[in-house]
Amino acid sequence: MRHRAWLLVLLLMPMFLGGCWSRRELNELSIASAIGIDRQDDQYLLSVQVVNPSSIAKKQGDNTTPIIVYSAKGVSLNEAVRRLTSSISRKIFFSHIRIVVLSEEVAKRGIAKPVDFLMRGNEIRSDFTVLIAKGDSAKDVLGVTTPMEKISANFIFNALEVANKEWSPVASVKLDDLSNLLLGTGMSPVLSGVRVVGDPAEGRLDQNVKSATPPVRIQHTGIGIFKQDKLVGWLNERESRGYSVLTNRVRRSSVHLVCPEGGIIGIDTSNVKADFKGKIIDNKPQVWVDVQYQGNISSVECPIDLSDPSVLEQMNHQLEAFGQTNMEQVIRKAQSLGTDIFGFGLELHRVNPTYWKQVERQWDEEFKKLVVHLQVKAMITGTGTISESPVRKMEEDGL
Amino acid sequence: MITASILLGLSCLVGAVELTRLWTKKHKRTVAVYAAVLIMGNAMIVLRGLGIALPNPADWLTAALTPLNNMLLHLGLIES
Amino acid sequence: MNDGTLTARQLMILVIFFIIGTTILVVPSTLAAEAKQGAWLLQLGGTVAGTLVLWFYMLIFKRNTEQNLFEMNERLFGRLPGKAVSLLVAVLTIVFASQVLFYIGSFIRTQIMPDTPMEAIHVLFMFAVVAGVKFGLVTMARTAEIYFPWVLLLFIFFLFFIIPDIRVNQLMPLSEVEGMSFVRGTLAVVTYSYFPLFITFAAMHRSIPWQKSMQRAYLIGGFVSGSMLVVLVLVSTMVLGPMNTAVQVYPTYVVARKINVGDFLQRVEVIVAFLWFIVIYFKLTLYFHAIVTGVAQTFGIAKQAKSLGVPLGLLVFVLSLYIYPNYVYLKKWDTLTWTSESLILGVVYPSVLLAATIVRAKWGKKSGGQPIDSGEGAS
Repeated sequence: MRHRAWLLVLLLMPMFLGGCWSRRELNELSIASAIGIDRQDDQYLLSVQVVNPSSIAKKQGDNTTPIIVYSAKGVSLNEAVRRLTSSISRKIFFSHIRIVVLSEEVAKRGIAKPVDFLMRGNEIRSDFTVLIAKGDSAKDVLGVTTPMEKISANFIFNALEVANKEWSPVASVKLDDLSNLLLGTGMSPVLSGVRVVGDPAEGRLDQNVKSATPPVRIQHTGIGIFKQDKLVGWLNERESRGYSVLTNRVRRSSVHLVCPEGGIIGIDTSNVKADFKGKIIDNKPQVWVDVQYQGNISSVECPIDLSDPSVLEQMNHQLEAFGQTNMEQVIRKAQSLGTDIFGFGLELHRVNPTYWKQVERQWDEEFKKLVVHLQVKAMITGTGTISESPVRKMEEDGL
Repeated sequence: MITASILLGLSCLVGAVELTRLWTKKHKRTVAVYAAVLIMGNAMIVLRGLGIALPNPADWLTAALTPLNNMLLHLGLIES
Repeated sequence: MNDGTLTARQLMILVIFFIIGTTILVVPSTLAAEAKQGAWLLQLGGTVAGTLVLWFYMLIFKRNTEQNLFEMNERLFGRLPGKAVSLLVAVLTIVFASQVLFYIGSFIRTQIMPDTPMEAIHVLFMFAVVAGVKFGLVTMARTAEIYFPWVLLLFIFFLFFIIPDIRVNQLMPLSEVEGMSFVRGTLAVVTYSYFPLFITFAAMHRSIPWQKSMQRAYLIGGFVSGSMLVVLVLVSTMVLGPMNTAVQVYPTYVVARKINVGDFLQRVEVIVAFLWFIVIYFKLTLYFHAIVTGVAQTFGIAKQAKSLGVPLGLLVFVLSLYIYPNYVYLKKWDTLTWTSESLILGVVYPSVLLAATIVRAKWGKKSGGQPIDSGEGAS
């Protein structure tokens, strides 16, 4: 009898099954793949790139676009989200976003506020890339259709990931790196820039990707540097290379060098490593940076003799000079803006915590006086799969 | 409200079953304690369901331990 | 069967589960806020200190074998004062149990199911706890034994798959922890994890024959769980960074979110959350067992302690709904009042008991022992 009573109680218990409250059926959700934050009339303009699942799922193309961009304004980002939800038939699900694009204006005003919103929500994770829209609005960036990937957010994300490894003037920064840098001292964040090449209005059309060379494209361009949480400048290509090398972001890249008799040699660099050591001498901070390049010749466009070892030595020196100039340039730029984007402050903190405690708060100013000693070593080892170049042969034969 | 009444109903159901069992075994004191606590719990649920704020024992503890709290703060053993 | 005894292994497992309990969720955040990247040192200090504290408790247990905490109270302080103390301890434990219930509910509501009302989660959980206590301590211990390898497995799984995300340089500089910071951190660890062990384990004292192997198991349990937490704090600092760890409310969950093996094994953080549900369940059950035993003992119905499960469960449940009105209150209470009363219950009270035991031992031989009130006969 007792057991039957307990059984009855057990049967009544499922009324409290908590899971049913928070259930969200898949067909009630719209999955967001990207978020864009702009500023308009003193309010945030939140854009969301939403996936259209029926279009993706179909094998042959149909007439609907795979992504849709919705926007809404709001004084706070939270408000904008709610307003947005009311204009779509489904609730927005943020756990799958790949990128967040901030407009330049938002970046200049300070990214701490949007980042707080992104960190606080429980749906939004931290494995997406944060980008700045250079020159365009974030909404426009989200709207461009891309070839090969139906969901442009995936395209942008993957392109940046690949570029991060293969081409140095870009930097893929995820949210948790960003928040860590914003919360701490000793290193300022940077964010990669994107822009739309071509007319954004045309970029939204399906026609854009129906051509073999789409007229409107997304391009990764430059690295934006921040002081505290405000955008203060952009790095050009050379400076971005210097930055990537210094922060050990680059794995492989490509460089061109000038031959002694004119003409170009292309070098593929790999295994680029930068180590730095900091020391406090006479209460002044100094940092020694040791950079090593390894490279392979990838294309020869001048008549040089590759069997001559002194030629390779010259190439090495040139590569070293190239790297050195880039790094000096970028360090100078960062120092002039007063923002330590390389993490020298962190290194000094590790090496000498007492000194760091004194200067921590004024590090942006102290950084300007930091003396950096650069030492670059390059080693071009391979020459690709052929030894003598047809170019040289042409020159020799007088053609 | 609904949760409150369901809980109430369930607790009374279980209570009835258990109390009868205890009574038949002559455990009068247990029945008394059980009933007392049950009534206390149910009263609290009802009051909460009606929206009346209930006294919070955590507050009582804080009040009772304020001198010790202050001493610990002063010693630097805690930081608020 | 229900009045059986625990084995040494079961004791160790229960200690481990209890200590890891709620600390695994929140402590890395508190310690990181205190000492940034030196948080793991604080946890290490806490582990060592805590194990010493456990050893101290063992001195009391050894001298008062065959008696649980509440019987001890009555024997050492006299019948009525003893009952008063027992009731006070039991009531305080009701407060603690409702707090633990709040923690688990809050975690589920914040991270996993934000729209679910508190009541639903708390009721479900409490139901399992009450059922557990009704089945008896030995059954619970055996259940813990069954779950232990799974908990260990999940923990190792978690650590193993997060290795690619570890950046050791976030642990530098190592030598930045100040003296007071270290003391505060160690105190925090000991008050959260080790002090509550006295009342909870003393309450089930009867079921534990305290020979050497048991003593060893108790201490090993304390040390092992502390070490697991050290590893956890280390990992959290190295993966998220010290600032992020300090800022997150549930840092270990966020670390689990980052598990991403080859873009294939990802988003598995809820599986790791199961680990926490299990350990918190046992923590809550042990607290609840102490409550039930205490109340029963006070009113002289020790043998029917289990019957009180349902009404007391109801009480704990209702209390858990409003014991922490909001997060700010929670933070403040946990740092201030909890430390104070944990010190009292974990240091002052056991010391008094120990002193009384020694005194009684010297005097008791002359005047004979006092009869102990043990209830209305077997059920």
